[in-house]
Amino acid sequence: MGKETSHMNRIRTGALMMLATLAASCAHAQDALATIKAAEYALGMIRGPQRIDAINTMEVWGAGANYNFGQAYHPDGPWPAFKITYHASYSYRTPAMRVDITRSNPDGPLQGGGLPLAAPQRQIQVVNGQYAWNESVPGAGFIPGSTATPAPAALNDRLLQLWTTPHGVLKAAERVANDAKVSKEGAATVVTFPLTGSLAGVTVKMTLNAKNQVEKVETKSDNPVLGDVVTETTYSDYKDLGEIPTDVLFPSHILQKQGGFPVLDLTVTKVDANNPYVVFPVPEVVEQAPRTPPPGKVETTKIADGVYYFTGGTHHSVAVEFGKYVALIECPFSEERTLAVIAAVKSAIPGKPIRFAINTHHHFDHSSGLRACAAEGATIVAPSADKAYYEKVWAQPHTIHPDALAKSGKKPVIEAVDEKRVISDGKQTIELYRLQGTDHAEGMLIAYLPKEKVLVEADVYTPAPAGAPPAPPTKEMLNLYDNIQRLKLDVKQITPIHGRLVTIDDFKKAVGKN
Amino acid sequence: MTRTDDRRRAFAWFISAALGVVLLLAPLRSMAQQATASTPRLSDGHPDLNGLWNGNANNPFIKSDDPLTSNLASRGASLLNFERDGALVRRADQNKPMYKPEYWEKIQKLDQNGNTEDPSYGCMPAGVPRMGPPLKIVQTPKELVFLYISPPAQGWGDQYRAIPVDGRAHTPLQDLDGTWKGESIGRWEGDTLVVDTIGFNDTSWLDIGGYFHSENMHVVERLHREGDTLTWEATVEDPDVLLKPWTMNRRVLRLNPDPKAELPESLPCVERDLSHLVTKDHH
Repeated sequence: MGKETSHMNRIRTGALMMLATLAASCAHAQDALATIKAAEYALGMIRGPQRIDAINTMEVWGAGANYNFGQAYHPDGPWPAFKITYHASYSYRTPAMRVDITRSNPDGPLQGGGLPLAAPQRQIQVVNGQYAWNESVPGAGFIPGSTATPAPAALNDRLLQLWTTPHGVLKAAERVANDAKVSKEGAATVVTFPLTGSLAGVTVKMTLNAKNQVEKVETKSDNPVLGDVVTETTYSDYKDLGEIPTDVLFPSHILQKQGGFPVLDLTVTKVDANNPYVVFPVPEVVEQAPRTPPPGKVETTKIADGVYYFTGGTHHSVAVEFGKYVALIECPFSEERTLAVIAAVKSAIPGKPIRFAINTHHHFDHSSGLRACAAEGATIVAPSADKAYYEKVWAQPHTIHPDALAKSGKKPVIEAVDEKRVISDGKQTIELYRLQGTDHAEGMLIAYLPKEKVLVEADVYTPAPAGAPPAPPTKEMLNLYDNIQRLKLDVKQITPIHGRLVTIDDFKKAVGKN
Repeated sequence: MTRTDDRRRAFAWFISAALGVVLLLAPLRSMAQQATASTPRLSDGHPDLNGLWNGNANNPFIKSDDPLTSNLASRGASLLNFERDGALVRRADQNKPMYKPEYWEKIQKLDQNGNTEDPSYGCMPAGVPRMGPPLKIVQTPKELVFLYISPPAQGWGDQYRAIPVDGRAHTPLQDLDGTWKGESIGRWEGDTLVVDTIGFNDTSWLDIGGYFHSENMHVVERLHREGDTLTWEATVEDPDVLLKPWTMNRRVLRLNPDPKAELPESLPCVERDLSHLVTKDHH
C-alpha cells in the first residue's frame, strides 16, 4: 500500500510539474506576444477596431552607401563602398520585396573589388515567395526587351532581408511568439526567436529601445571564409516619413554590418507606408528555372604538357603537374565548386597529391574554396598580406555549416609570398609574383610558367568574349601590362581566372600596346 | 485499490486538469451554428434571387457591435485617427489587380492623388464592377433588375441595371457607346446567375487605389443563392492594362427577412469637400 501511494504521489508530482511547465510556457508565450504587440503598436502597425496589423505593403526611398562584402582591398579592412540611391518595395503577406539600387563610385578611395565602376550601375533584386530573380528594369520579363534573370541561390538572403526590416521582424516574431524568448539587456528589451520555412535554422535577436521601437536586429549565417558570421542591422531616428501621413514610423537611418564592417549605410528620405500599389509578378523564365542551382560542371582543358585549365563556372582554376605532386592555382567560389575542381584534378592527374594550393588574393569569391584545399592536405600559398588574416578568420567557428576543414580537424598550413616565390622540382616551375600598383587587392599574386610561357591572373584582366567590340582598357589592365614589362616575363598566353584563354597579342591589343 | 487503478485515476486527474488549463487559455469560440435555410425557386426552376440583400454578412473590418464607438476608441479617440486608420486598413487588402509594368507608376500617381482623381469622390457613378452586388433584385424569367444605392462616402446616388436572361448575344463592342455600367447580358449556369458585361467607358475605377481600366474591360459577375445567403463575385478581364484577370473579393449578403423592408434612398451628392482638402490623406 505504502509503495502504491508513493507511486501515485510520484505520478501526481510529475503531472503537476508538467502542468506548471505548461502554464509557465503559456505565460512565457503571452509575455513574448505582449512585447511584440507593444512594439507593433509603437511603430503604428496596429489599427482599427479589431486591432489588426494594417501594414501589408511599403515603399522606402533613400541614399547612402552600400559595400562589397568580401571584396576589401586590405584583407582585414572595411568592405569597399559605393554611393547609392535606394528604392525598396516590401509586401509582407506575399512575401515579396524589390530592391532597386543605382551604384556609383564613392568620393573616397577607389580600392577593392568592384571598383571603379565605368558607369553608374543599376541592380534590381526581387524575391516573391519561393522565387528570386534580378530585373533589368522593374517588371522585367513582362516588358519587351527587358531581362529577368533567375537567382535561386539568393532566395534566402532576400527573404532574410525582408524579415529583418523593422516591420517585417515584428511580423516574423509574432508568427512564432510561442517560441520567442524575452529578456533584458540593460534598459533594452531583447526578443529572440527562430525563423521558419526556408529560413528554418536562423535565429533572430531583436532589440527594442525604451520606446518599444526595433533598434537592432542580429542574425547569424554561414560564410565559407568567415564561418559563423553575424549580420547586425541598427535602426535609429524613427519618424513618419510619408508624403501622406500615416503615423507609421520608420527609421531615418539604417546601418547594417556584416563581418564587423558596414554593408549598408542608408539615410531614408521618404517612406510610403500607406499600403501602396507594389506588385511582383513572377516571369515565366523564373518560374521554370530550377529552384536549386545546378551544380557547376567542371570542364578540363589541357593547355600544355602537365598544365590543365578547369572551367565551366564563373571562376576557373589551373593545375600544374610536378614530378611527385600537383600545384593548384585558385580554390575559388565555394567549397562545393572547389571540391568538384579537386575531383577533376585527380581525374586529369591521377595518383599525385595536391601539395600546393595557390591563392591569387583574399576576395571571398577567390578564397571560399581554400579551406577545402587545406582539408585536402595542400599547403596554402597566399599573398603575405593575407596569411595573418586567414589564420584569424579560419579559427572562427563553423557551427552553422561545418565544412570539410572543420570536420577534418586539420590545422591549415599557410605559406606567405611577399614579392616572389618559385615552386620547382627542376622539371616544372611556377613563379609567383606580387602584382605591384594594383588597387584591386593588397599584395595579390600572378603566376607565371616560364617553360610554357603562360601567365595566370585573376580579376585585373577579364578577356571579353570573342568578337565582342573593343572596350577602353582599365587602369588594372594597364597596370598588369606594366608588371609584365617590369618583371620581363616572356608571356605567350594569358590563362585568366575569369573569361577565356587569350594570347599576349590579344592582351596587347586590348591595352593599346600592339 | 490496485496500482492500476491508481494509475488510471492519476492519469484521468492529469487529463482533466490539463484540459481545464487548455480550456481556460483557449479563446472563446462561438458555438452557434448558422441555420441553413433551403433555397427557394421560381416556377422556371431557377433560384429565387428576389429580395432586399442588405444583411452585410462579412465585412472583416467592422465589428457587429457599435462600429463608430469602437473605431473612435481605436487610437486616442481622435477623428483624424479614425479616418487615417480606416484608410490604412482598407488599403491593406492584398488582393490587387496585376497591372502591366508600364502602368505601375500611373497607378501610384492616381492613388497618391486619389482625393482628386477618384471619380467616385466627384459624384460620378462607381460603375461596374465597383458598384458591387445589388442591394435589391427583381427577377422575372426573361430579365433581372438590379437596384443599388451608394454608400455614404461615395455619393453616386441610386442606380439600376436591367439584365436580360433571354439568350440574346452582346451587341458588337464597336457598336456600343462606352458607359459606366456597360452592356450586361445574363445567363444561368446551373443555379448560378452569370452576368457578362462589356462596353464600358474608361472613366470609372475598379476600386480605391487608382485601379483604372480600359474601354476593352470585360466583367463577369457570378451570383449564387444558398438559403438566405447571396454570394457575389466578379472577375475583371482587361488585356489592355492587366497582366491577368482579376477576381475581386467575394461578397456575401444576407436576405432582409422583413417583407416590408424598403430600399433606402441615397443621399444627394453635392461635392463640397475637395476645395477644403489641404493634405493628400486618404479617406
